[in-house]
Amino acid sequence: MSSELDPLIHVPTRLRIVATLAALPDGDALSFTRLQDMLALTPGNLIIQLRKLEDAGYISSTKTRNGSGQKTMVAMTGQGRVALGAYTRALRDLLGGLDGDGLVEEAAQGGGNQVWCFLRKELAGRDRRIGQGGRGGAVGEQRGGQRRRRLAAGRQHRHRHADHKAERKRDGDSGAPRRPEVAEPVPGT
Amino acid sequence: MDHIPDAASTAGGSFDPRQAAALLDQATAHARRTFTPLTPLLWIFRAVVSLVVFGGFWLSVRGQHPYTGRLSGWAIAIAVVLVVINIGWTAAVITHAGDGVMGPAQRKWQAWLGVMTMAWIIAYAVTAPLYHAAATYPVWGLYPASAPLLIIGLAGAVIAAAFRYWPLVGTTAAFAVVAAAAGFGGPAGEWLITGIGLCAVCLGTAAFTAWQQNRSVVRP
Repeated sequence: MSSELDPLIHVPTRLRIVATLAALPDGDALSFTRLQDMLALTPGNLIIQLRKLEDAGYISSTKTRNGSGQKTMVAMTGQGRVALGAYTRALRDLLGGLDGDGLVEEAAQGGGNQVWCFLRKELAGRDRRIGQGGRGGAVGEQRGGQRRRRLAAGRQHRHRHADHKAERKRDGDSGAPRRPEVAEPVPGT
Repeated sequence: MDHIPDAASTAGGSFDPRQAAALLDQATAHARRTFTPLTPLLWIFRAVVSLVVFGGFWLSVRGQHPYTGRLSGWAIAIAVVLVVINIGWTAAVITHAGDGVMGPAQRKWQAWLGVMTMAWIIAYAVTAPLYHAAATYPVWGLYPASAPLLIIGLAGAVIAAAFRYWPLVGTTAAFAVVAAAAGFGGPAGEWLITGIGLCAVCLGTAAFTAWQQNRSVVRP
């Protein structure tokens, strides 16, 4: 799985050019003037970008006779489609590793799976931070500390309860509870 | 109108992957909308046309005893106006979509449109001699509503399948199914079934086309 973005495509103008040409069916070509109109580029700028893409073998251009003048047709090559596919996959990989903000945005936009993925990732990250001694920032450290203190308090309570039961057994107590059992504190509540 | 950043200001610079993903999706959706002759808005208009035209025909024949199949003048006038608008709009969209585009897919698309135009003309032209000969029910009652659409739907589906235009295969095959089902509605009822059925198919196609044009290429 490669997350390398093709530097030739990863430029706004060239990305728009290849995205536009890739929307055409395989083998179809678009005239230079139509492409220029669609992208709202100056002829000079478009020529420069097209030349770079053509040098890399991503697009091909052919000149056809159109009445008295010539018409330049531009088409995406098979190599260009493969490169754009690889670029899209790399972009997807990179976006898959988004930070929390991106996931929150996605979750806010809807989609049960996205919300679920976000929650799972968030919980996994929190557990990891607690396990590593709360290295996940001040808030994480504070929450991790609180959780550790509650866990320790729960353990102490259970030890005291066991000692108390053993003591009562030694004293010949029947073992019947004199008062209702107190539920053990649930860590993290 | 799509908001696409100024190319001159952004050319040559590196940018964030999220911006790149947004730009890729935006440019792809813009190109898809520009190159397709199947716009969702046109399909919605066709849904309205189907409902109004066939619904008008149904209103004009539903009370006939005995059934003659003669349509009211106002229903035919409305149908002619809407069909002419539909043809004009379709021609404009096709011309705009194919402007500056050349290649095998474009030629296939033009061939498909030519065959479909011929199918429409032939299928409905056959009704003229029937009308002239004063054909009676069931010939006149069933033929104009069901038979042309059945022929057009099947012909369109076969040719679209040969050219691998799968969404069009679905739409045209659905036309044929609606036409076949409408035959069970009787002489007057079939107009209404056809109108409702075609309206549903056109709306479904509009929704699918809109989804297909706007779906993300980066996020599956």
